[in-house]
Amino acid sequence: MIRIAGNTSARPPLEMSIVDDPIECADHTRIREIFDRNYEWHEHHRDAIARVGVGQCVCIAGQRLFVAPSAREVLEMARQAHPEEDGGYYFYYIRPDHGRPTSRNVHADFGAMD
Amino acid sequence: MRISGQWIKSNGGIDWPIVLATIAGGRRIVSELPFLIDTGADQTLLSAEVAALLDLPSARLGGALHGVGSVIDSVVVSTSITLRREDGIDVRFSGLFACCTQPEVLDVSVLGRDILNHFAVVVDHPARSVFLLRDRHHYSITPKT
Repeated sequence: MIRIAGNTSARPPLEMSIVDDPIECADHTRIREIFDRNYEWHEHHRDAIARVGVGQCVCIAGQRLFVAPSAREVLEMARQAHPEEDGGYYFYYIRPDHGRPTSRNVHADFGAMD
Repeated sequence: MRISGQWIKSNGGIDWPIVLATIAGGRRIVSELPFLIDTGADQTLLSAEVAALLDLPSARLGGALHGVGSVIDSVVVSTSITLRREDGIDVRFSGLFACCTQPEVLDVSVLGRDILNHFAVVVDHPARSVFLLRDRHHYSITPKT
């Protein structure tokens, strides 16, 4: 549950619009395909990622794992390594209660390590 | 209008109903993100990691946000969230969105009723189905035969 306290009428309502520009829709399609590939890689390595990324931000880019203490740092690592995939990264923070702590600023390719 | 979501497993091993959406940022035009469908949320709330991604100017929120048992620190950003219809056309919601500032508060961005109220929301765990419906698409409830 997330509840707004106080006066909620002060904020203007969201504006809904249809985007049918083919170039914009094609860009969305391209980014989603990249995201899907990174997410699928994540699903195959979920347990290993949970072990090394606890208490940190993890990012999958180029079907590789990047780990850093903050979102800004991990996104910077991903953007340096795979700028062509910017927009299609899968990244999130792993809370400390979801596993063991690890070292700082890691990137790993579990596919190569297997 | 039909927008399809999916069920994904959270880090804690819980199944979440998710819809993918792109969000507009300052440095990048768009980035794809998963959003938890949360009919208990008065409004959409972006996770703290998204603030780093967006790189947009933010302002303090006018009214406080309350989670379960605590106040959520947040800022407001002006951006847009774009959902993809099944026919490949996009639906965009533009305006002011709250963005959480503490990474440990929110595991994933939340799609709240400020967006969900535009749709009939189908969240069916036994059938592993997630749909946002509107206009020509609707649902019906029939007894199993």
